[in-house]
Amino acid sequence: MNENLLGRRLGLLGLVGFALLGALVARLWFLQVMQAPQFEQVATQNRTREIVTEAPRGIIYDVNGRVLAGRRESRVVTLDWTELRDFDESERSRIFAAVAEELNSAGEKFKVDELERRFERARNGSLKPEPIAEDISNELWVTLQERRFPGFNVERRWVRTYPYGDIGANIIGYTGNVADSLTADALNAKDDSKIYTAGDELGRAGIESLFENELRGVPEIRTVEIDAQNRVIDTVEIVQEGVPGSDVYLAIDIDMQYAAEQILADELERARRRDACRGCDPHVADAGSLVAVDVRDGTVMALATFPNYDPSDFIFGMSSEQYQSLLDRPDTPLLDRSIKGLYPAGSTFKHITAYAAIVSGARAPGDIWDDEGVFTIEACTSEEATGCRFRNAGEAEFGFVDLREALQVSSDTYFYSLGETFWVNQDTYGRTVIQDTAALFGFGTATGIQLPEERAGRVPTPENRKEEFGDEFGWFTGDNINLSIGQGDLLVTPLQLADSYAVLASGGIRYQPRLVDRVADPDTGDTILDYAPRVVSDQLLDPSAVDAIEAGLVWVPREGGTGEKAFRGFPLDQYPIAGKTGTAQVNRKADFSLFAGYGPVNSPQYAVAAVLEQAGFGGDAAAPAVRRFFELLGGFAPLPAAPLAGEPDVVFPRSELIGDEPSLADSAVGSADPAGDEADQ
Amino acid sequence: MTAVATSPRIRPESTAAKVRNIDWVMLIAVGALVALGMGAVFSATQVDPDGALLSVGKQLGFFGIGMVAMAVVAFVDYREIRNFLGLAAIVTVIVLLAVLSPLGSEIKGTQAWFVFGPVSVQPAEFTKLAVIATLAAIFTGRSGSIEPHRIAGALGVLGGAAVLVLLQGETGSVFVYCAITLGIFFAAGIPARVLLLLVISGIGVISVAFQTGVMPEYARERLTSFVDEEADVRDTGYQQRQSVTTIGSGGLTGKGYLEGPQTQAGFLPEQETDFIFASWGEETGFVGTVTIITLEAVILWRILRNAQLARDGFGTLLCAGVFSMFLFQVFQNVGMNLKIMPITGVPLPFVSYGGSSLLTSLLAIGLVQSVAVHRHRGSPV
Repeated sequence: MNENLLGRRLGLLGLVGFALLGALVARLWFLQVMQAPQFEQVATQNRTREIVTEAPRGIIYDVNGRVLAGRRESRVVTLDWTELRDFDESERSRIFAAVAEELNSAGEKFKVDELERRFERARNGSLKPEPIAEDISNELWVTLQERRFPGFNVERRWVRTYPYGDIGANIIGYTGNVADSLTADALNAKDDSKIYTAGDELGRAGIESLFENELRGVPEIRTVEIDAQNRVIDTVEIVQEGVPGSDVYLAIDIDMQYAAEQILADELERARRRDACRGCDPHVADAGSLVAVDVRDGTVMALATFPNYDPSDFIFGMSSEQYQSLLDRPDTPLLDRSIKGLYPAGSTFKHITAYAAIVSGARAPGDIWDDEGVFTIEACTSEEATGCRFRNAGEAEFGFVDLREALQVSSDTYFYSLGETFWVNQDTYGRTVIQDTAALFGFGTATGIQLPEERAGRVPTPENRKEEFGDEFGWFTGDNINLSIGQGDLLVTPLQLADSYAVLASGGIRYQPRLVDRVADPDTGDTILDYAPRVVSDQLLDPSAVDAIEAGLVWVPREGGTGEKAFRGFPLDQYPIAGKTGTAQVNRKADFSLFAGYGPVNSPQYAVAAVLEQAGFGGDAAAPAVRRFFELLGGFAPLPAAPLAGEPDVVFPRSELIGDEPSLADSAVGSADPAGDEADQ
Repeated sequence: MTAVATSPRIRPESTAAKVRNIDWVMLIAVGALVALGMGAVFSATQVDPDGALLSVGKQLGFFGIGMVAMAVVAFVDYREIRNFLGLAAIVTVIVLLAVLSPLGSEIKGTQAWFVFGPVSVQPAEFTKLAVIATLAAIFTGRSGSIEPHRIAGALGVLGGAAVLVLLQGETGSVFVYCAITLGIFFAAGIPARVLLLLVISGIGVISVAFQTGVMPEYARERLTSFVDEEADVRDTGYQQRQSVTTIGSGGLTGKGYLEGPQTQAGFLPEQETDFIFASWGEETGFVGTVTIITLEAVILWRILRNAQLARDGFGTLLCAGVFSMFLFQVFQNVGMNLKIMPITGVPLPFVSYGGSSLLTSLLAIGLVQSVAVHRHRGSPV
């Protein structure tokens, strides 16, 4: 080998070495000196996490302090994919298989590919551990803590309890979980004072939804230092103290609510068994509502809807199939009919027409009307033309009637003629005298009850019809005639109906229905928000007109009245009731049965309305339901206690809710008294 | 500078002369580097204190064995090695095959280990020495010229070793063999254009292996994640991101020994082996990392110097092979830590935790010492 060449080659090797090591040093200079501050920052973020812990949700009580929506501790298994990212597929499969085996032997049915699926989903989702099994057994809890599978952790979470099951579910509502971080971001964009993270509880209906901001606690936010396995090493800082949510006290008595629901269900059941009138559609009677309010301050006594749902089904999140099947049910159990059900009022609307007639001077209460069973519009050229003749229900002929009798027997022609008079003489009475009266009694606007998505109903006028359907749909005499007996395009909610009778009873004072009594601090019980009775309208009614209408309504439940049969045996002398039956016609369905009234007449306390869908005559189905509820309100029948659905709820005092974790309730079984053993020897 | 020896006859020299010829600077640098390495391993494994003592204890054990072995090798004349090359080659092949049999064990996806109780040994490490010695011998024939058949033979040795080790799933070692070969070829005086051709065809072979799937899946993933950072942010890209963050956050003087938050919280993957440099960098900063590189540089310089002073071509090429091995390992390992090289499991000489690697490195130093010890009396250092 050439010596010069060798020397040169070794020299070059040295040069290469120098260059390569020089490059390393240059890179080190760049990373450790020039860019050190940036990397320092990255490293800090790397090692700290913000942990947001949901504070316990406030409790919903009834007026007597009974828990309607409580909370309890649930032990859940969560999957944290970040702990599994450094494992290869076969290692992961082994872990999943082992976890699935543990879960299955503890009775939690889980397949390995289900875990794989959850893992993949979590990997594409948030960083937050995802619950995969809830309410696990104590044994499984201990096993999982001991064996500590990477990625699988056990933790305690607060979950809702609904001790009364489906009773009052339409009022209480239910909670769901914030689906993902996108949903959470959207919620936080609106209000970030009680920041949401994916998986948090969120009120979805009823009080749970409307009082979300009160019920939801302030989550605790703490910065923690973690290791590479995401295990918390240390708390660096508590950024925000957790505060439990406020409690909500309802004005309603759960026993009353239960009774209303029972009565409603009973009467629907009876209506289904009763034969429909000849040639009529059969009584489907699968839905309805019963509403009662206190005339004196608007307090809601009962707000029953049928059918209902069990909010407990929503606690751990419902599968979309489950939810869809609830939505798809023809009897729509998620629809609260008391405030969202829209019905023609039928004859229960006649107090409105009567009041309009008296006050406008169109017809005095004592004026006699000859009820021939059929009413023909005067302007009609041919008596036989369709849309010209309007008949009484059941083709009845009542002969000469005044207002009292017209209400008692429910003469339709009496009111048809008023409908015609108002329209024909609109120069005298104005175009919308019935509608204006209806508005005075609260129809056409939401009552303002403390529940979400209440419907306003509809009082049709020539103007809003034109707005809605266009110019070619005019308003004719026939429309006024239909409206006079609560038919046509009129739609009311059961709550509005009850409210309108409360207005009549109070002589014009209309209260906002009062469902929530107060919001209170969970720790001290101090009232944070007080919901005192609130008057919405105090436009007093003409007392003589009210007296005249009442004089007719009190005869409805009595001898010769349309409610006579339903109220037979009710102590009307002791507790007189003014009410009105209604039998509303709905296209291609059996008649809807309605009754609305108030009592006791001498000093009115409660107004009650019932609507039973496809249940026949008002006097047959709705009137008995209202009668039975008045028996409870008047104290003539014992009030049954609402039964607990089972699960008793656990409510911890505040000090145990935040900070230290409540101890695991697996206390050792107490050993027998040793002294006693010794004494035996 | 002596001419390449033509006579294989070896005149024994006195022990005193041998001791005088020992390269003390290199020895001290090795000692210092091993000490720093142990410190780094202790810190990187101290999350579990028993584990740290065990790791450092094992490493110390290997160091002790390695020092004795180094001394033995140093005082045996390196020229004797040539007489045993045939035997060494056979033993190496048998061992490399045996590790694939049920006698061998799989650790972290590579079937490359013999496990003896608490100690695991990786034959692919020791094979590096066999490759160095064999190639050095091939290019120091009687004629002293570079005939094509020698190149072919050398490539055959490389190919054989590479295939056997690839079967174990050990890509890192294969790259080291390639570096050794390249270094010895270069030092042996193979013309630059031939070398260029060889390198280009080498890259071609690797590309083909890559495309056809001869290369194991994990190795491909590691290499591509370096090129395409977004390809897999969870696994291999994650490792290097953590590594760079860890080193960068160390700053000029570091977080303090045993105080590196990234290291101590376990964010660094393989932090006592492949990524020991990052852990060290976090705790001792730029000062510490440059110290390590400087010590490696001193060792490399001494090896090169001994290559120049060798009494014969075989000694020179042995040193050139060891030089290439260490230089490649340092650059590859540190470069991977700094994210300028892809991830391959190449240990940082004298520093990374691992008995086989430490033992092999010390034996290689022994070879260089032997070359130093047996140089002509009175040769300048």
